[in-house]
Amino acid sequence: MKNPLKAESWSPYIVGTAIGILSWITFLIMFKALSITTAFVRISGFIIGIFSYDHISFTPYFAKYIEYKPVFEWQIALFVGIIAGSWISSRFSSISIAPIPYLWVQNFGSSNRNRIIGALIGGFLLLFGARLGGGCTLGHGVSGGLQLLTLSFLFIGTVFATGIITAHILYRKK
Amino acid sequence: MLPNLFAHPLILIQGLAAGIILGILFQKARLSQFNVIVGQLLLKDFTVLKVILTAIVVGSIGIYAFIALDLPLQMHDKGGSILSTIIGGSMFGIGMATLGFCPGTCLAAAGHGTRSAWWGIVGMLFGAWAYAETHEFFAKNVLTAWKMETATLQQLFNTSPWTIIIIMTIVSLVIFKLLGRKKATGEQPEE
Repeated sequence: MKNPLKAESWSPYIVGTAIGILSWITFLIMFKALSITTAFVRISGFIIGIFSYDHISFTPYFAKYIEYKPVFEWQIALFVGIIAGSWISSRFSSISIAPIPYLWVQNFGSSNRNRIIGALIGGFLLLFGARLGGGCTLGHGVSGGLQLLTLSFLFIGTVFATGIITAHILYRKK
Repeated sequence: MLPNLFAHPLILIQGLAAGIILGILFQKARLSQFNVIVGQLLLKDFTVLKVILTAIVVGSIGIYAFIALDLPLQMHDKGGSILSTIIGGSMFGIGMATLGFCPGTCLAAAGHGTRSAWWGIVGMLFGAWAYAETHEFFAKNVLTAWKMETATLQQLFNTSPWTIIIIMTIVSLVIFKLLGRKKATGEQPEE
């Protein structure tokens, strides 16, 4: 039988099913929901804490995650795992990744600087929005969605609406 | 005096295992690729929607079956308000289009070899920091505005969760059928 890992890609329906089943396991056995943005809060807090631990103690939002609980916990391990899993999986794949995404180059040119600025701004908005909104596509989209939480569906709807509008503005040239 | 830095090894191993599986799933679904995520937002590639809807349908059937079987389960509800969800979701949507990933898929993209994904991670760390510093303001003014009284869809529509699940499954199947009729637009040969 052909090694499934060597396949170019898997059906989104199979992957979605697998993520759903993975959630059964995380909910039932690990008492956790798949989500990832808290890990970023922890990591940024940890880095700042290296420079000024006092600052972490006196910023309640950081203190909540750094002072009273272990910094490196389940979600940090998930964070590392996702990077590792994707790397492992890509070893079997023949998809090559362009230095700068094609759609970006079409619209913003091939300067590294532009792409870096875009990535920094995009990342900033993602995490700020996620922490304010209470989750990300994993936390709200998958975990909140499968719990049938109203605000999660509102979040995902808002993300799609604004994301679709923004993408059409940014990537005019296809 | 540093607090205990690491959670119990068993917890870390569970998280790592779940993460590795998720990373493989993302990469194999091509969600680690810029053109797939942005392709969804440009309504040319519906991989993202298919994965999320399927995960929600399958996930909800399992979770609510466990609840019906009285298995010990915790719900994970972040709370928040309608206002915070809309503002946060809007920022997130703009960020997702600009970076070309969401946080989870950005990690997968980094593992897969997208250089800008690492800059995305740096940006995300700054975003997390900025929110931590300004959280007090939002807690007072936004997170309590327009509170959602009904946490779940079944409460909102005053029905059983299974009604919601059945409707959601039917709607998803209809969407999948309609999407099946669209020919997939040619993807770029490389990312």
